[in-house]
Amino acid sequence: MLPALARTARHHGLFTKVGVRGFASQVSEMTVRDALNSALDEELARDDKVYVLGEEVGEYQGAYKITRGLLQKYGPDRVKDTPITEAGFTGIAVGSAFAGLRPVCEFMTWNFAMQAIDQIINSAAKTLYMSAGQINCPIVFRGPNGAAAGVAAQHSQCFASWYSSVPGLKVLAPYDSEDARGLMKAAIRDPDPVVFLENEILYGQAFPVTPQVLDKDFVLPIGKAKVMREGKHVTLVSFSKMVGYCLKAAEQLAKEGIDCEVINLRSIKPLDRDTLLASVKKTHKIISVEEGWPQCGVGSEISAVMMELAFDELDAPVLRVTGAEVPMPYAANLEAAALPQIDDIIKAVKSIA
Amino acid sequence: MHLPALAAARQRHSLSELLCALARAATPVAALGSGHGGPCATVAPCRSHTAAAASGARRYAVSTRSESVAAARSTVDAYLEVPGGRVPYTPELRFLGGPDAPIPTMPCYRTIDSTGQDVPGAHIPHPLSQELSLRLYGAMARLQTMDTMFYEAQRQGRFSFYLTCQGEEATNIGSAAGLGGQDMVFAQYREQGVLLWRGYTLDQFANQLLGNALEPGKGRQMPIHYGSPELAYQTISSPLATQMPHAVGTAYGYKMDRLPRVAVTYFGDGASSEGDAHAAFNFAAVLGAPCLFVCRNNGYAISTPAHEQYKGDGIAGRGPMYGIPSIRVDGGDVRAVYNAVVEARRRALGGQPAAAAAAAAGAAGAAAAPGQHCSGSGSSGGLLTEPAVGAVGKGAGQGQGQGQGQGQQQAAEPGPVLIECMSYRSGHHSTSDDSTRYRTSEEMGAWRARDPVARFRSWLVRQGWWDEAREAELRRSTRQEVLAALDRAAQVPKPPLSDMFTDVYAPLTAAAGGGGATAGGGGAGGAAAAAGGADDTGAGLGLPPHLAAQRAATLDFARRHPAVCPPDVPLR
Repeated sequence: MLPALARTARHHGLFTKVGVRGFASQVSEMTVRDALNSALDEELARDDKVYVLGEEVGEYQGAYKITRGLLQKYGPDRVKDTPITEAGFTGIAVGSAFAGLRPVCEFMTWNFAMQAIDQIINSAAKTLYMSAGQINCPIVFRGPNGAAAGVAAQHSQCFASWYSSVPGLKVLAPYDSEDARGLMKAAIRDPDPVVFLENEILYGQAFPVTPQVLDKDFVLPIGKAKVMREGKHVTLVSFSKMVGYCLKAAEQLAKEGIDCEVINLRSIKPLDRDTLLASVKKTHKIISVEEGWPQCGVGSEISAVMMELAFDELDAPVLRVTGAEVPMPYAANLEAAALPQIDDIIKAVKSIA
Repeated sequence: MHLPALAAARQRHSLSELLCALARAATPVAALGSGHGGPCATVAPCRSHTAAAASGARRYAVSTRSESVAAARSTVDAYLEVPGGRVPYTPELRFLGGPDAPIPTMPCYRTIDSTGQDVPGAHIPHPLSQELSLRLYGAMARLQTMDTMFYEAQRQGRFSFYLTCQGEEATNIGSAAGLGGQDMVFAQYREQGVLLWRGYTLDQFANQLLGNALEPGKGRQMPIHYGSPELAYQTISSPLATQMPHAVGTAYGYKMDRLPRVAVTYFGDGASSEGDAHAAFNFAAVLGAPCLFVCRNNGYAISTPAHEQYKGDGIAGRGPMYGIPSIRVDGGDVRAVYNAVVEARRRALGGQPAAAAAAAAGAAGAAAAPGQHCSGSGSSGGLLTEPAVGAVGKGAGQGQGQGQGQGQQQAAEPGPVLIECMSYRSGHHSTSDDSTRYRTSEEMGAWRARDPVARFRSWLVRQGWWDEAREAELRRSTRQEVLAALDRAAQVPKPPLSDMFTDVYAPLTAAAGGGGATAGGGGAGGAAAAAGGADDTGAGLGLPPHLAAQRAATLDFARRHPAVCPPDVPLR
């Protein structure tokens, strides 16, 4: 009977990859850094067309140690240290993708990718369309995005909204280690160019991971958001580090009887409208939270979509909690004032709850 | 005294190891940049350093402070060893280069002079057979006529834009003829001759210019932005010089896959100023990518003359500074361009000896299929593995004056090669330009007289291989063909509106996302088996849901408002 039960459980998507013994209770912890590193490692092993390039990714083990150990394991043909030219190495990576390789192109931060943005958009994103489907560009661009700590204006910009407006790109933003593993693998296996927005502060944070997540073929679907916490009074939608803030805000609000549903977008493009709409149908109130600037941010898109598709479901205007509209200042107090804090989220919820 | 080093050295056994230890001890880390150049022990090449270098660990071995202080006191000092390599010292304070001490101008390789006569003593490792010569000339003449007629057609309003390669026919055709048929071309926009040589038909040109339903680009690109995967010609991309790093990346891919192919990128004198050009040159050399850089220096970047574009020795002069073998060629001499490209390609792949290439070129010249590469060096496989051990220097005897160096070449590592073809842009930059506003008609007239097509025709006539009657016939028939192609292309309807949303992303399939533990994504993916595009949502096209929805809305709108939708744009 037990094997049959296990089979039934698997069939219903419960305890996937569990044997008859059932070790679903085994949960370990893994930092986002290790999650990314292990995903890269496994994909390099799986497909010899995959290679990593960028500044300091090899000998230095990665500016943020995401590529630690990979040069030693796979050699300089698969893990390439590049000269300092974002435009140059991005263009080269794109050209190699046109020729059939599958590069993972690291930017030390996404701020520096602005020096390569023509290659990302005019070459990687548009070429499949311009060539009428004949030239693919299976490339992953990755690196830390958004604010870190005390690195000021030219190291703190969030690029989610810029890249998510470009047809031809897919834009992913992992929050926890499960996201990091599943989305990185999905991105590498995807035939289209993927912009992969990580977060420096999250690299060192550990999250629980199940054996399912640790499986070498664990892949998350691109374009699907995750409901992190169910609730019925208000929806909080966010991505990357702000998901953690929303969860903390939700904990505090729960003590006051306000029940928040927290959605982790995971994918900024394509945006999972269905999950957002299903949530708004339940809560009738939605707040978008992001670190980036307010004008034309991700929250603007969410607001437009909610208004267009869920006007009659809304009991309150869509609110946006965003970063302040200034280049990021350096001083710690100014930086804190320029970024959304948990209190800001709580205040926003209370204003419409 | 270098006590620590000597003590260590006593434990070693050989004199060379002792010398090596001394050298290491003497390496003046502390003296770096001091300007004093502390003396250090002179040594024969140090074996352990060499061994370290050979193992690929090219990291600098830092000596200790006491060793470096000791080094500063030693007496002989010939080189500065830094992570970039070994640099000889000089006591002279002298600036090299620039307006006060220019490095010598790189000379321009030429085999046919401006009157169509052979240059005496020219080095021609790949002489032109009659058949190859006639093919080359035919292509150049066709290109010239095609360009003139398409330019006129744009002027008559038949399509929005055109640019010619007048004055650069020899660069286009000569270089194309020297490449392998599968060498991927990353062109800029003035290389339609390369496409023509490889077999792109006049119908294909016309279809692209008119953006009709027959063109494989589905009307996505503006005119002259051709692309052809079958002919290994990358779709043209407008931003300048972005194709240069692409070529390096593709060449790197070929090297990784051990394919006997090069990637070739064409770019102009103006485009070479872009940051991407610098990155591509530098990177290709660092990576050892088998990439040909072909610069079309035609003297102008729209209205900017070359002397306002750069102050150094053109583009060829930059190559050696990147570590790239470079040559400057008379871009109006098709034989010179051809020979330079064949040799460059050989070198880029790792330097097969000239003998095999020359012999094969002779044979292949007779048997080449249309659009196929003529020189043998492309077709023999495994160039990255072993050089063919051929007779040394036996290309001599064919053509006038064979250099001795050729045959002695060993196999080398693959790497980039730079060719700068000097010519003149006889036409306007494009149909959007009127160059009489920035250059004189005398200047343009003088260059028209040096038309590369006419020059080669003179040479052909001198060989007895061409005459006026054949010339007239060729021009007449080409004109007819171009007109007919344009007329045919104009009859074809435009691509359907229903195609507008495809190819933004690769089509979603059920397998997309890999064999993961969780289900795959977009809704349209599962319908892959359904009839393609039969309904407004494009079920079966594998569109992501947001694009499928937009497609449906667009088609619906077009159907409900036919007056807004142009009559020659079908819906599906």
